[in-house]
Amino acid sequence: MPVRAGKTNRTKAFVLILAAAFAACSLYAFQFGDRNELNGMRFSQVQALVSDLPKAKLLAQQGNIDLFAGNAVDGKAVRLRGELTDANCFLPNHTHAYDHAFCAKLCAASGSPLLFLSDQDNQIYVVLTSRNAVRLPDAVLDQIGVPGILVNGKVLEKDGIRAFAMEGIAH
Amino acid sequence: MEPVRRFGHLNHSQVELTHANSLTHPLEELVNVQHPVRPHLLVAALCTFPLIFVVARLAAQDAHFHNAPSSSAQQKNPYEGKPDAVTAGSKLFATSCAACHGATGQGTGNVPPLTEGPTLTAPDGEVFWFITTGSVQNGMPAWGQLPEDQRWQIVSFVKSLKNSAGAGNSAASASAPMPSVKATKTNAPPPQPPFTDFRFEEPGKMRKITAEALPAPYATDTSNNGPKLVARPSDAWPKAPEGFSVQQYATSLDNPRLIRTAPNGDFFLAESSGGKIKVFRGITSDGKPKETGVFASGLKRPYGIAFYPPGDNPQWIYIGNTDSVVRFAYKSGDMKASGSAEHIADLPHGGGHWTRDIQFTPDGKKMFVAVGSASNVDDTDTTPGEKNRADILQFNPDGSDMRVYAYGIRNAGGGLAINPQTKELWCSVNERDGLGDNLVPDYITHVEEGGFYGWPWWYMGGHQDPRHEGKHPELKAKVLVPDVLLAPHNASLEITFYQGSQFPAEYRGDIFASEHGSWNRSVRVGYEVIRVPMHQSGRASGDYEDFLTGFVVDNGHVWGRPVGITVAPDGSLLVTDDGSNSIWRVSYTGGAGQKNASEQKDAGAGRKNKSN
Repeated sequence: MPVRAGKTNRTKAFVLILAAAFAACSLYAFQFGDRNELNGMRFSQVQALVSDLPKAKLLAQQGNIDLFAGNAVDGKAVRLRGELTDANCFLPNHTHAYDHAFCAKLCAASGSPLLFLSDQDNQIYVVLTSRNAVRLPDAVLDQIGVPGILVNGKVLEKDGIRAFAMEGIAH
Repeated sequence: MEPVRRFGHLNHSQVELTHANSLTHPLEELVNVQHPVRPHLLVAALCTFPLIFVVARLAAQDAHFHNAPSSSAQQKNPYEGKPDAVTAGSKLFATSCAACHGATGQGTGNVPPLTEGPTLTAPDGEVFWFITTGSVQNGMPAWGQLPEDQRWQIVSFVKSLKNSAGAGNSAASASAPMPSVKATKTNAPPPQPPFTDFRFEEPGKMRKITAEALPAPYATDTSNNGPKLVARPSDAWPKAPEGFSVQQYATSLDNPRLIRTAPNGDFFLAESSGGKIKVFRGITSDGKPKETGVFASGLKRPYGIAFYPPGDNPQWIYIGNTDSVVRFAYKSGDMKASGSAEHIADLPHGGGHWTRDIQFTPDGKKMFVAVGSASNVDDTDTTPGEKNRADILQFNPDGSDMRVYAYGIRNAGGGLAINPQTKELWCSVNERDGLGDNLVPDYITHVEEGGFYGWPWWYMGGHQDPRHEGKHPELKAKVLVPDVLLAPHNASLEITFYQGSQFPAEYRGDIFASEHGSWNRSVRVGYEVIRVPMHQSGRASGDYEDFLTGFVVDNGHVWGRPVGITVAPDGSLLVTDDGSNSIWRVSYTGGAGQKNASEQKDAGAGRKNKSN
């Protein structure tokens, strides 16, 4: 049965080739997803790109990375009055940025999340930026610690956490 | 309310620079203002001092500029005679040096002027050496991190001040371009009466604000308009009513705050930042102290000062630290404490409002201590940190038996006084922020035992704070309306009852109060001394009068901020000013027109610095 044996060998070889091709394609696809190792980029390098989103988008495109930068945060549009403060001081000690605004700005600049303490409903909101990877406007950040500021944004609530995607100062 | 934050108004991008470990000059200059002797400089100086000392002694047998080594004098300025270097240097000076030496090199506080003195005559190389190495002892930072060419350019600019000094005026007339304060103009419309702002403050102008005249909350936006302190312009001087003159009694102080006159006539001054109590004795014929001393040091943000027992022969001086009351043994005439501080009572502390003024009842049986709130307007029901704050506390003089004497008083820590006529306790209060330009009025009032003054839920009678809507309706009818409502955000601090005999008779018994000035107002207000007429009755009618003004340059800049106030034995009024770090003395001369040193010096210069 030499003919039968040859056919079996060809089938085996074909299956092996298919498996190898599939493995190669899978491996290639995995590498292709972050082919420029952007996900391993140092934070400081990424931080610099916040000021140059077009460049970040280009890098992401070249690296085959999904980028949601610039996308707006969904939520209910509101106008809130209150105080912007940093979480590091407020959550442990209930210390407002009011009267220690320099300290609060320093915390915020070092990466402490910001909170918005609403006057109207006495709620505490985690502050989000209104668009992904877009810094809060300086006009907002300069108001850290000023009581009674009026701001526009969107409120969202998820798993018991209230968040406020802040757009800017309202008048 | 009074801000306690020279750094509070840095914008966010400036602050971020510190995080990025990339201090640039504007921020560094601020850091240097606050901490002229920085720890790392100190360590560096301690390490290098012996070497510098030896080298200086060997190399410089004669007097060199700040003991600069002789070799430094040999260094030639590569930019000598180059006007471009002066221009470049003036810009560097503005960012790196002006915060301490003044925008025109005229000096500020205890920092000497560069428009006169040895800086102008020393060889360029020695000045360069001093800029490079600094001096811990003199509070001069080392600027070695600046590129060498920039340091030489600064030398060129500083040397150019020689021309202006030679012209007999300050550097304002220098031929070189001078760093100048950019005026911050406001096009805001005039304030609606009864409210005012700095543009309309004038000595002698009477004001009265009533609870009925208050606008609704949030009638205007809230503001972040903290003052930028600048050196006093050459044509600026405090302005008093006609018949009064103003002199500068003391200068080069370190954050002068509350001042009180001892029964023997000495003036005790709290230099809060430096933790000191200073003493000034007497007034020379040219209006300066005859003697000055440090009574005590090492205190924790001292502010309140009180003599005990009341009367002519006190045995103790009580000091209100931010976290405690302490006392020192005292004999009349002491210029220095004879012993160490005795702890009397702990006080709540932390958060905002650090000042703690003290007074004793006239019979000496009780001590009052004012403790301001920790926050702007947190609900005391749900904020443990507000316990025993926003109150006037009462103790026995030994610190025992503490109780709340009056409450709902947001911050009276800036000023307590006993009315000599009625023997009542009075206070000066900073009210809350964040409700708009014309809310909530600061106030001066007599204090009723058990009295509730509204904070945080209510204000000025039955006005509810919208941030506490619906809370404590049962307290609405209890809220006392203060005697004298002041311009909102005035930041009213120390008060004193005038018992002197120098001023005209109608002033006797009146209150004088220092208004430190606003930050939470779009057009600034305060920055003045006011007079509250008591009509020889011991009672206020709600009126008050602008008395000493002129500390504001424009809506962005101020050069003076009144804090403390006391009456001298000769009947003149002493006003501390932590903007120019000096003490002003207001005397009644009775002549027509105001005479003061500034006008004598700059006759005809006018007062045109109010750019708005």
